[in-house]
Formats: sequence, structure tokens, C-alpha cells
Amino acid sequence: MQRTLLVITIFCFTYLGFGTSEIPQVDLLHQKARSLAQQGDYIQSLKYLNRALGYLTQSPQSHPKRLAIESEIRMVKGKSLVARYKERRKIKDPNNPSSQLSAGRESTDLKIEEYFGKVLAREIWSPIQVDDSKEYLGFGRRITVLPKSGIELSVANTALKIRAVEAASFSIKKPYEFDVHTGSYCINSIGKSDSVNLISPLSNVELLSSTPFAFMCGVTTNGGLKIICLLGKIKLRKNGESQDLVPGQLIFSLPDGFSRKMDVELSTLMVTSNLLTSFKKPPAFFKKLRQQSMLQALRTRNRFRTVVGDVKGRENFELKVLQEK
Amino acid sequence: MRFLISSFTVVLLVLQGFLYAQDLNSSNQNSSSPPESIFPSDFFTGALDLSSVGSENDDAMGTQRLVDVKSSRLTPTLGASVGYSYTSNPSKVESSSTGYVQDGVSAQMNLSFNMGLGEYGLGEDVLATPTLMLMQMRTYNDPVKDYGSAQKVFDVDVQIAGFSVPFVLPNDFILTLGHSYVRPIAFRTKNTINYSNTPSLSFNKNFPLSWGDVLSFTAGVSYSFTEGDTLEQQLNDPEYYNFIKAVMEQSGSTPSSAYPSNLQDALTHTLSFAYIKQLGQKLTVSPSVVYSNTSYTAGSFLGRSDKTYNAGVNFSYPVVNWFNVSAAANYMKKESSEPGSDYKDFLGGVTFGVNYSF
Repeated sequence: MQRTLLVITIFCFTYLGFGTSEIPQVDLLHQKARSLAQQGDYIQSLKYLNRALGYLTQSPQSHPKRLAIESEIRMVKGKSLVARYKERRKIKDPNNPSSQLSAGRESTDLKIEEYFGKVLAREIWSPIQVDDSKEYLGFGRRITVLPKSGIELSVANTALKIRAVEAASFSIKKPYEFDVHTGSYCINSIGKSDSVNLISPLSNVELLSSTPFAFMCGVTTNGGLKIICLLGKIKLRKNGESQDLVPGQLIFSLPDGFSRKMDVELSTLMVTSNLLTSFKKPPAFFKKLRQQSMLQALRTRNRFRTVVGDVKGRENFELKVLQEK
Repeated sequence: MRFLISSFTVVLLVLQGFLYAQDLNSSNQNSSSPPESIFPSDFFTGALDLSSVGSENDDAMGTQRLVDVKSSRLTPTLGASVGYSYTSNPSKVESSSTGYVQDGVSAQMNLSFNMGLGEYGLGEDVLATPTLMLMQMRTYNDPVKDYGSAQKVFDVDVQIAGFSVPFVLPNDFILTLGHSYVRPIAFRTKNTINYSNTPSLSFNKNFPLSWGDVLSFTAGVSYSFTEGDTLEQQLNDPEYYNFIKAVMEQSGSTPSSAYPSNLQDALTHTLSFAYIKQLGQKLTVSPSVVYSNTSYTAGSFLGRSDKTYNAGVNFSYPVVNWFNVSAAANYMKKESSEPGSDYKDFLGGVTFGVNYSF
């Protein structure tokens, strides 16, 4: 009897103590998501629901809160699809004034420097597939890069350039704001210093640099960001926290803050990154990057047989051990 | 990598010291070892090998291999080595000469301190990696006393202070500006033989071959400004010196013209080729040939020209990160415009070295 009581007590402590410690935050996120869904902002609502689910990754599959949020995610996704379908129908309707925004009158905010494969541009103006006749895209376009494809854009009135390859989806609504949904990117400002806002599903980071800079970033499975500095000194700011990156340093921007910084080998990146090698022209900063890779090689004490992977949960990132050949 | 830079600088300066000090019987078995590159030959090749990992990862950002990068610009390294070598001509004189001795052995002990002063990018294409070096080399001739105490007179300390700035240029050309101060001392008599300041300029290019080996080419030029003891300093007796001076002046000469202190001022040109081959994971074999021409520009050696031909092979095996074993065999032939100054020498030996980077 005593043993049974002890087991029940331990179970209660474990379940209530550990299992409910994050419930208030989960409830808060859940409520916020519901209210956003009611307002019709399904994308933002999904972000909050995913964050809430992230807190419950350690809880059992049958946890009632987890089940409720998973159910809510399915509902919001469904509503989002229906809303998008309605929106498309509205745009295609000849009586709708917004359907007048034809691609021919698209603004010249983003210059297409180079592209290959299949790249789609949607929203604001009529949907198009980028081809040789297209020189510019406008702000607000949702750009989708399909597998084995890539695009390089320069942002008007800035020195900013962005490259995206292989299953990437992003939009640029303002000159210094990049909304990245999925995929990997290389962003640089070689002519002058700039600051950039980088928005991913679960992370919003401000990047500042007083010198020309270049970095690569990728949206992780958990909706955060993996950022690698290639050139210049970059300051990252988020929720009052800041981190400085120098060439070769990698950091994850996670929902709750930044991961620790790691150094990754630039010479390996230079020959293995499709962002740097898939395009006909090398990036404008390639010579500088080569110099930085040599500087890094001179400062390197040790090379590990380990590569950095993805982040799937809330905190821990993957490390993979390279196999001996 | 720091070790490579240190080795590169040390090899360069030791080579200069060797060419300069060859008449001083300060043999150095590593003199013909090939100059090492600032970057390993597989600097980018290794990265290419990893591209398959990248494709497996399917990460458009590439393979993110973790490295440990030092945070400080200054990189001090301490090194020590002990060597034992055989020479077929310990006195470095012509075989017909009265001072010729056949066969001998010597023991060398080296202590060195290197300070990497950082790495600096110049423009988009050039890197500079200045390095400071201090070295003390001690050579004991005939430690097994095959010739009794006769060879002790050649025991010598060589102290070297050097500063060099290798510039890594586009296409992996390396231009090195250097300056070394060398002071050989006959430590048994506490006599500093001379002092020399040697600015130098060298040009290196490594050609990685498709099968993984490397062909290295180096061309260099240096000028030695030397200052030895004057007759007055050698005699170390003012009364005796004044007497000698008076005698010499009566015969129409002066101590400074008859005993110049800058005997070894010389311009030296060097050309070297080395073939660097990796055998297995650790063993490196590097056969090399070195040609140098020294033209003396002052003192009684004025107009003399010495040509040195050196062919050798060097084996290097890093047992662990901080402990290295190397073996070398060199054949050297010197041809001088001064009659009676030619000689040949075979030198072979083994060296054990340790180094520690802070």
C-alpha cells in the first residue's frame, strides 16, 4: 500500500511538477493563436501554435493539452487553405479591382541579377514564373524557389543582395526586411554597411554591421534560424539579447534566444554550399571570402570530424560525425 | 598551422644561417629540407572531399564542419630539438687540405621561441602573417671523441633573432620579407666570432599535383652585413696591439686593412626545388635540391664567389601533435673561385623535436 502511494506521489510530482511547469506559457500562446485565427491571421496563428507545441515536445503523446493544440493546428491549417483559395478566386474575378495589378505594371524594387531553374512569384501582382523577359520584381511578392533552382536579387536603393536556392520561400516587403519561410539564403551588403531584419516562422532577428557584410541563413525545422557569418562583424539582436558574429561563426536563433556560437570551416563552406557555387557568377564578395577562409585556416587549432545539422526541438541542435573514408 | 608557419620561418632562417655560417663549421642537417608552405597543399582539396557529405546533408548552406579557432592574435610557440648527425667532412675543407679530417659526428641542440604576430588581410587578395623568432643552437663536434679534443675548437653556439613577414599572394604565391640577426659564438672560449644582419627576400610557389604530392619552388636573395672582431679585440691586450700596429704601419699596412672585420659581407642567391610526398597518414618524404651562390663584397674575400650544390632527402614523422622525429641525408658540394676552398660533404642524421603552442 505504502509502495503504491509512493509511486502515485512520484507520478503526480513528475506529471504535475514537470508536465505543468510550462502550461501557463502554453496557455498564453494557445489563447493568442486562437484570437489571431478569429481575426483571420492564420499564418501568425500557426506560428504561435507551433511555439506552444514546442513546449510540449517532452510531454506524452496523449497529453490533453498537446492533443488540443495539434487539433487546433489542423483546424487553422484547413481554414488557412480555404482562405487562400477564396483569395485566389477573388483575385481572378474580373470584377475585383485588385485583379488589375498585372505583372506588366510591377514595381522595380527587386532586380533579378541571376536565376536558374523554376522560380515562382506570387501575391500582389498576378502570379508568374520568372523567365528571361522578367527583370524586376516588386516588394511584397512571395517568391518560391523550386528544387534545383535559384535566384539572386538586388534590393533597390540599397547595397543588399539576396540569393536563395532549392525549395526556398520568402518575401521582401520593405528594403531591409526579409521574411523567410523556408529554405536557405545568402544575404550581403558589399558597398556599404546596413542593417537587416530577418523574420522566420519562429524567430525575428535584427542584424547590424558597421562594415560591409555577408552571411548565410537557413530556416530550421523548428522554424528558427541558422546564421553563418561570412564577412564583416555582424551584431545580432533579438528580445534584448545580442550576439556578435565574425566570419566563420555559426549561431542558431531559437524561439527562446540564441544558441552558443560555433566556428565552422569557411573553406569547406566555399566548395560545398550551393548558395555560393550553383550560380554562374560567384558572389561579389567571393575573393574576400577566400581571404577570410585563409585567415581562419591560419588561426585554426583543430579540425573536428563533426558537422552541424538541424534544430528540430526547442533547444538542441544536431551534430553529425563525419565517417572515415 | 601555427607550427607550419613557425617551421617555414625557422627553415628559411636556418637556411640563411647555414649558407652564411658554412665556413664556421656550423653544420645543419636540415638545411636542404624543403621550405614548407603556409597552407597545406590540401587546403581546398580536403574541402572538396567533403562535398559528398554536403550532398548527403542536402543543406544548401554547405557542410558546416566544426573547427577550433584561436581567439588571440599572438601565438607563441616554444620548440626544442636534439639531433645527432654524421658528416664525411667535419672540417668543411678540401680533401687535400692539411686540416682535412675524414668522418665525424656531431650533436646539435636547438631551442626556439616563435611568436606569430597575427594574420592580416591586405586588400582582397593578400594576407600577411608576421612572425618573430628567437633561436639558440648548440653544436658539439665529435662527442664520442674519435679525435680526442681536437674537434672541440669547432664547438659553437649560434644565436638567431629573426623577423619575417610572409605575404600570401593570389594563386598561392608567397613572398617573404625577412631580417635575421645571427651571432655565432665559440662558447668554450667565450668568443663571439662575428655578428651579421641579413635582410632577405624570398619567393615561393607550391604546385599541388593531381595525385596529391606537391612540388615546391623557392627563389631567394639575401645580403649579409657582418661585423667580426677587430685585431685589437682579438688580441685583447692594448700594449701588444699597439706594438703590432706600429710594426704593421712601418711595413705600409694597417690592422683594419690586413684584418678586416667585415670579411663575410656577401650577397647570396638561392634556388630550391622540393618534392613533398605524404606516405600514409603521417610520414612525409621530401627530396630536394638547393643551389646557392654567395658573392663576397668586402674585405679580403672581395671578389670571391662560392657556389653550393645540395641534394638531400628529409623524412618527417609527427609521432604526436607535439613530438616529431625526422631524419635527413644531404650531399653538398661547394665550388669556390678561391683556390683550395672547394669541398664535398655528406651529412646524415636524425632529430627529435618537441614543440608547445600556448
